[in-house]
Amino acid sequence: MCDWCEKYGDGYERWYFNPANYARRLYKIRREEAESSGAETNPQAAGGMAVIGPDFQEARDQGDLEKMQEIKQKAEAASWLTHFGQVITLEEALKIADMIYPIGLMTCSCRRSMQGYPSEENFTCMGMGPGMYKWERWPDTYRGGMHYLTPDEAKEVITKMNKRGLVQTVFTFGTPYLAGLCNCDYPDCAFIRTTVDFGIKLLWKGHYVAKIDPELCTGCASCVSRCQFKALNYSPSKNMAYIDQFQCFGCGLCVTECDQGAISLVERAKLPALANVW
Amino acid sequence: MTLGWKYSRPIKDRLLTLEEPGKPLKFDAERGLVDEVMAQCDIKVLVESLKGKSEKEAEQALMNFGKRLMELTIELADTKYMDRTGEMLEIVAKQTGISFPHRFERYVELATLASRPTDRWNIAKATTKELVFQVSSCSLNKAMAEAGLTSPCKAMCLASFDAAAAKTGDKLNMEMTKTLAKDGICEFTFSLQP
Repeated sequence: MCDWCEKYGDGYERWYFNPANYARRLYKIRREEAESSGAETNPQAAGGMAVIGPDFQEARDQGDLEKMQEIKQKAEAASWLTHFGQVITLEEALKIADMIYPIGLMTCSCRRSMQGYPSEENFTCMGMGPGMYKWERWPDTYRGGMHYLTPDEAKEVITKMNKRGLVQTVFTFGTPYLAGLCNCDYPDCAFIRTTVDFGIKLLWKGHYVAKIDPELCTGCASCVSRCQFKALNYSPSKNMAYIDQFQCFGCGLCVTECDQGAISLVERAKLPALANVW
Repeated sequence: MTLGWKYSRPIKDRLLTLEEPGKPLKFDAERGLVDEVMAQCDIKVLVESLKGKSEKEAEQALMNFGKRLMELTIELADTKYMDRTGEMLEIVAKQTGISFPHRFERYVELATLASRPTDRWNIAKATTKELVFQVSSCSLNKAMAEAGLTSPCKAMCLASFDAAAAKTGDKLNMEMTKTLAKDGICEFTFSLQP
């Protein structure tokens, strides 16, 4: 069980299956003074992508491990309070889509800022829950607009994105409020990059770990390019794929790619060495 | 039947964009709504009127008050005090064909804010099948206790919820799953009838 399941699971198998973590009031009484609507009220801007700056890179270049550790700890603490993510499997994402309403398809702010994707080619992110009724409050985050999906339509879109090689993740917007169902990949996703490249845990590993059956693997290596976390490699000497399970985030993208059925997901909690590797 | 969504492209005929960029929008409940509802549906006046009434009469008065409160809230919230959250909620319901839980929840929240603005309450669950509304501090319950009245105040809440469901057309099972007296919170669970 991950820290978040312990804190916010409330008896559910996973914290992201607990409907309370998606439920919020729609209303408060309007304040007389002007409401703030800028970046300071937007957890996505306040946390997540803005938590590390060039000082981390400078410290890294100078080999200042102490400084790096200090920045890392601050960044993680800030992110875990406001905006961080966890990897989920396709099946888990489909279960969430059936449970939470409304779901809006929107542009991905990571792909916009990291790769400069134009809005009309960037509808790969999903927002969910009551906050979606207020998307116009943050026009910059929701640049390009929004369209809403029924649960069945959302499942169709998620499945399509999974097939294209995107990892499903859930994100908090003021922890434990979950309001993002993202479809991420490397190097577009700021959270995957920060986590994998810098070791700053803004994206938690999922509850599963992938495992290869050597008897079934034919060495086609089609799974390798699907891995967004640098956990899958191909061994030419053995003509077989192999997984660094400590690096595996348990998204299951490799599982859906393998025609031989050689890869399966096992529960992280059942592997003693990995049970606390998040 | 599929959505026909092409990877990473917007669905043109369903895309919502900013109608008037730069125009400030009001997403929260208006103070005016609270003032007008409180002027016409005052909890203190209600509690005063219950004194000396039989249990049955008091229950009926609470039900009448709840119904009147919700109808007034709906009337004002959908016209004079229409807010952007409410407008968007209707747009989304039209786009998806799904009404519950948020159209109903909107009226429940606004009636609570308008009649008991200092109460503490929470939405504990809001899925397309179930809504759980919790009240941990209730000014009606408190005022009735202070006046020595023992009539079940849930009659007021349930009548108001009935009026909200009648307006949205949602066919709901309504259950009071916890009470302030016993559990420290009142909890109402609304589930969509199959």
